[in-house]
Amino acid sequence: MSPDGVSRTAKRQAPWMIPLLAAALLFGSSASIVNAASSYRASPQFEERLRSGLTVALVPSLVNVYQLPAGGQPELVDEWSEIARSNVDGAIRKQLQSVRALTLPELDPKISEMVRVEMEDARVLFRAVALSAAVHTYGYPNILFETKLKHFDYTLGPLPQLAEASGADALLFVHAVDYISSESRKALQTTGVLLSVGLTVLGGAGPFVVPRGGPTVMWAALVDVRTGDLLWFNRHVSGGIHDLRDPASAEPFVADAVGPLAQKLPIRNRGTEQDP
Amino acid sequence: MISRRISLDRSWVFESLDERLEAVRCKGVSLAPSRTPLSDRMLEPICAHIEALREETSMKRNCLTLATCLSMLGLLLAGCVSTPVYVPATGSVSLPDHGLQVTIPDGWHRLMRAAAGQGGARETAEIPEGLVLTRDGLLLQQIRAQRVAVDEKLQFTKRGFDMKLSPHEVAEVELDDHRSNPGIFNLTVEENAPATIDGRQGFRLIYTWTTKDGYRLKRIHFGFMEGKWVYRLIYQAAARHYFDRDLPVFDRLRESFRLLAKAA
Repeated sequence: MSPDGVSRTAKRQAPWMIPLLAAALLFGSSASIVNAASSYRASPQFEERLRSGLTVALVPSLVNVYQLPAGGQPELVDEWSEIARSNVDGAIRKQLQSVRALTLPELDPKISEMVRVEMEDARVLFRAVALSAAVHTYGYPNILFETKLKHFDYTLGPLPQLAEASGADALLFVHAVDYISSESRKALQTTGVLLSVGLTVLGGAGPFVVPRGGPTVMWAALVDVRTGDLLWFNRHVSGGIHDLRDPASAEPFVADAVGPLAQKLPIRNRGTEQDP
Repeated sequence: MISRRISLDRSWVFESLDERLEAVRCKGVSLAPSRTPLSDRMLEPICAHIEALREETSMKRNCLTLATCLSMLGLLLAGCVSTPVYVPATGSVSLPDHGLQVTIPDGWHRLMRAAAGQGGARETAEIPEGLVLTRDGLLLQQIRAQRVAVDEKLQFTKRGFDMKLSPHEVAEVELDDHRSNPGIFNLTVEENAPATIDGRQGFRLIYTWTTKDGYRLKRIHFGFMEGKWVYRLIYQAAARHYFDRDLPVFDRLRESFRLLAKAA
């Protein structure tokens, strides 16, 4: 995301939209719509654990990329998901290492069957935990849990196999979902834009409809490997202006999602010391 | 409901996110397993709230006119009066519509619905689904207490309740309904045994299953029939960590379960 809040990707794809986007941001602001997508949550132990130093291992991220057809249900595309996963993991490494010279060893599930099973269980549970944390600490007032905001205490439970296999103090769990518009859907949207612009030019005040990809969402958490407690958690959302299949697009998105963590992580890292 | 209105206006967002992103988790985990009256009706709005949140973000980054933003906001405000709301709850509560009372543990949240009170004051009201509690979120754990009419049609099974059924047979019907849910995989019944709830002969079911995403859940389901009602007291949680952790809390709540006088 560029400083002006308009995605570079969006600029690349549709430079003629910039004035419209600027107007939309202005109008959006005047409607007092809060964007809390970039603020993270942290457990009371987070700062203390940071001070004591943390070795962080990356759990292979879980990324699902769907194609949005012009109509009907989104379809999961495995090939795209794998590309996006690789891009996300690469972007995470780049983000965290570039900021704090931190190496991020990836947890290898092939070490043993028990490790693999625990990792799969933990990743699936993480999705549920992340969703719950997102709903109840970022949601509307009606569904916010004030107690969780004051005392963020979500957990995956103890992860003994992962603790031993990783040799780390904490694990970084990441789950992301991206939606990609099909060509037919883009064509449909473009038609909508032309109609909207036409109506406006003719004196109407109809809303513009900007063609865009589907939303991109990421949930990331730093998890204490002994207790499974979420020390740090963030959920980041963008409204169709990123494409995780594209490394250049995934990078700024991931930076927004895990950047706040990168700024918090300590310099000391056993993995770094062991590296040649 | 605002979220539904948004979903109608922007159906692709609703479809994609609601079905594929987070709502699918809600449905797959919290709804699909039971398809009891605690249903899409309650959870869809919650999931759709998430969508509305997504919409907020999208609105800032995409081109909508002021009029559209304001109309969305208007709908939002209008919708708030009938949306689900979680309230911190503790102590003894009575549910007259379900003819029961229990003592709610500390630190749990009760799902209710927001309603406009006198002078525009915000009030909450009981939901049709009875008592629904969670500590961390419905996906992770939930306790439900409710009753359904004996002649009520169940969601998935063709079988139904009958006032002549024994507790064991009632348990079998409940289990069959759960088993018939297409969203349930790898159902394993660990226990189907007689149990006493508030002095009444009933059953205790313990079973696990996974969703299509591989999320493993475990449930303990107490039930009994009293007059024209089938009562349910259910605790469900992620099989990993959460179920065992919060089971003692549920046990205490179960011990506090009482039928209200003339409930049957």
